Amino acid sequence: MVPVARKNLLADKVRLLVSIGGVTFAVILVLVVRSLYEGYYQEIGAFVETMPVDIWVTQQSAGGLLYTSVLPASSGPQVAAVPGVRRVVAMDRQRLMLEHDGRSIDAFLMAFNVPSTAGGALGLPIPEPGQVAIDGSTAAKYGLKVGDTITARGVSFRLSTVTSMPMVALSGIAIVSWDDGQALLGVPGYVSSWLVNVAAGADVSRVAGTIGAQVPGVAAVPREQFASANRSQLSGTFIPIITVLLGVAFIVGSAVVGITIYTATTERWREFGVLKAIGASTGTLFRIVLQQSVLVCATGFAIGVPLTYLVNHFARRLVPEFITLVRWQDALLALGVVLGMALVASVIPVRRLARIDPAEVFRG
Amino acid sequence: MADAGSASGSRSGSVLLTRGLSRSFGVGSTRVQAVVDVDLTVERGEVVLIMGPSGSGKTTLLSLVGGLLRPSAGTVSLAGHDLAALGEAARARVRRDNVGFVFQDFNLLSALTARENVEIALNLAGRSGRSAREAACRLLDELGMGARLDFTPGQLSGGEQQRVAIARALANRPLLILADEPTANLDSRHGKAVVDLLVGITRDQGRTVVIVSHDYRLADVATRIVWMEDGRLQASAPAGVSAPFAHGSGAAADR
Repeated sequence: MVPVARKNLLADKVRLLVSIGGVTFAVILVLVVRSLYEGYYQEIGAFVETMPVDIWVTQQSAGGLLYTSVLPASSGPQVAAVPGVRRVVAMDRQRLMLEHDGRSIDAFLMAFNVPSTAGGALGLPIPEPGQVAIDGSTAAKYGLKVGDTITARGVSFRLSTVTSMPMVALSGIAIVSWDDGQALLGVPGYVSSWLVNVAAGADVSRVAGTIGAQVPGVAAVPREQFASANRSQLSGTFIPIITVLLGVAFIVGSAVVGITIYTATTERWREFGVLKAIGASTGTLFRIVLQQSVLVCATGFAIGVPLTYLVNHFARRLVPEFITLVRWQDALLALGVVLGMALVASVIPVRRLARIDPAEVFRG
Repeated sequence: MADAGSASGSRSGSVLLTRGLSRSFGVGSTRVQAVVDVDLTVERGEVVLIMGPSGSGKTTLLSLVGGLLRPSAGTVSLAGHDLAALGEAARARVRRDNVGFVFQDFNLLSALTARENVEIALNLAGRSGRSAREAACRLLDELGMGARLDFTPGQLSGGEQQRVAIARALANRPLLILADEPTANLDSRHGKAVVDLLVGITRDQGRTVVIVSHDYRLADVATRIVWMEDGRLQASAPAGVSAPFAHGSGAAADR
C-alpha cells in the first residue's frame, strides 16, 4: 500500500525531526535513569559480593552496610567457637568526611583486623599504618593519585593504593590499617562487624543460623543475602524517584508525539475525509494515524538506545560516580514506553477521525 | 414530484434510482430542507448534468446518491444496493467498488505523487504492489499525465491536478462517476478539456456520469440535463434543450 503515513510525516521535516527528538529524549531519559539505578544497584551489592567472606555478622537489625552496627569485642570468640567457622575477621567502618586540598570527600572509612600482608584473603588492599587505599571512582572524581595526602579527623594519611573495588551507595571507600582504624573509629571493646569464613564442606546457611542462635544480639547473614539487603536499602530509597522520572519521560514523549500526530492529522483533515469518501474504512484511517505515531516512536527509540550509551560514557568521564548498567530488560522497558507513547499520541486524533464526515469534502 | 429519468426505475440498465429522497439539516427553527422528495433514475451510459442556483441542494443530492450522506427519508439504490439501509462501513465498501468522485477542489492527497494518488484508490479496493502501480501509471498515461507521475499536487497545474483526480475516480472502474463542479477551479480552456476527457473516457468505457455544475458549456457533453431548485428536481430534459433550464422554467420534462 502507498505509504501514506510516512509521506504525511515527511511532508514537514522540521516537525518530524522535533518529534523524533522528543521521543529520543524520552528514551534516553528512561534508559539513563534505569541504567543509573541498575549501575548503583549492582555496585552496592558488588562490594559485598567481591569480598571472599561467607557470613557477615552485624548488630541485630542492622542488616546492611548503610546501617550503623556495634558489636562487643567479646562476641568475636563466641562466633569463632561455632562449629564450622574457620576464620573470623573484625571490621570497623564508619561514614565520614575525608579531606584533600581543602575538599571534602564522602567515604566509608574501613579497617580490618588482618595484617597488611593478608589483605588478599579479603580481596582488599590492607595499607600499612599511615597509609590509605581509595576506590577508583572516588580517586578519579577528586583527582587523587598515589602519594597524595588525605586527612581523616585531623590525621594525615598517604594514599598508597587506588583500587578497583566498588563504591558503597554513592560514597567512596577508604581503607586504613587496623591500628589506624581503631584510633580513628574504635570504641574500646567494640567492633562494627565480624567477617566469617566457614570450614571446607560446612554449610554456610547452617553455620549462619547457629551463629545467630548461639551469639546474643547479632545477625549472621550469608554473603548473597547481605548483598541483597544492601540493594534493598537502595531500592527503597530510589525506586519512587525513578518512577517519577519515568513518568516525566513518558509524559514529555507522549506530549511531543501527540502534538505532532494531532497536527499532522488535523491539517490533513480534509484529505482523511477524501480517503473516507473514496472508500477507506475508519479502521484504515486509524491504521494510518497509528503508523505515523509508531514510525516517530520507533525512530526515536532506534536513535535513543545507542545515544544512551554515548551519554552514559561521557557522563562517566565527567562524573566518575555516574555508574550505569544498560540491560536488555531496560531497553525492552523503553520500547514499551515508546509504544505506549504511540498509543497515547494516537488516541485524540483517532477519536476525531471516527467522527469525520466524508460529505465534508464536497463543501469547498 | 418530478421523476427525473425513467419512471419505472426497474429497467435493467438503471445504475442509480432514488425515490422520495429527502435530506434536512438542523432542528426546530434552524431546520433546512436541502433535498426534498427527489425521484431520479440514471441509466447506464448516461451523462447527467444537474444544474441549478447556489443553495438549491445539488451538492447534497450528489452526497446522498454517492453514499456520503444518509437520507432523512426516501431510498437510494446504487448498483442494486439500498444505501439508506446500509451502515457506514458497508456504504464505504459500496462507494469504493461502485463510485468515482471528482471534486471541485481536486482533493488530492498533498503528500503523495500523482501516481500514488491513483494507486491509493486501487489499494483501498484490495489491489497492491506492482499491479496497482502499473495500473495507476497506465491510467495517468491515458490521461496525458505520463510525464508527471512523480509530481506532487503542489507541482501540478489545476488542469493537471484534475486529470489526476479523474484518474483516481476511474481507477477501480466504477459504475458511476460523480463530479462536483469539476470545472469551477479551472480556466475555460482547461475546464472544457478536462470535461471532454472525463466524458470521453467514461463514454468509451460505458460508464455513467452525474455532474453537478453551474457551467452551461457542459450541456454540450451531457445526454440529459436536470434542473434543481429549492431542493427539488424541477425539470429534466435531453441535452440540446438546455436553454430553457437556464431560466428555470420549472416545467417537468421526463425523458
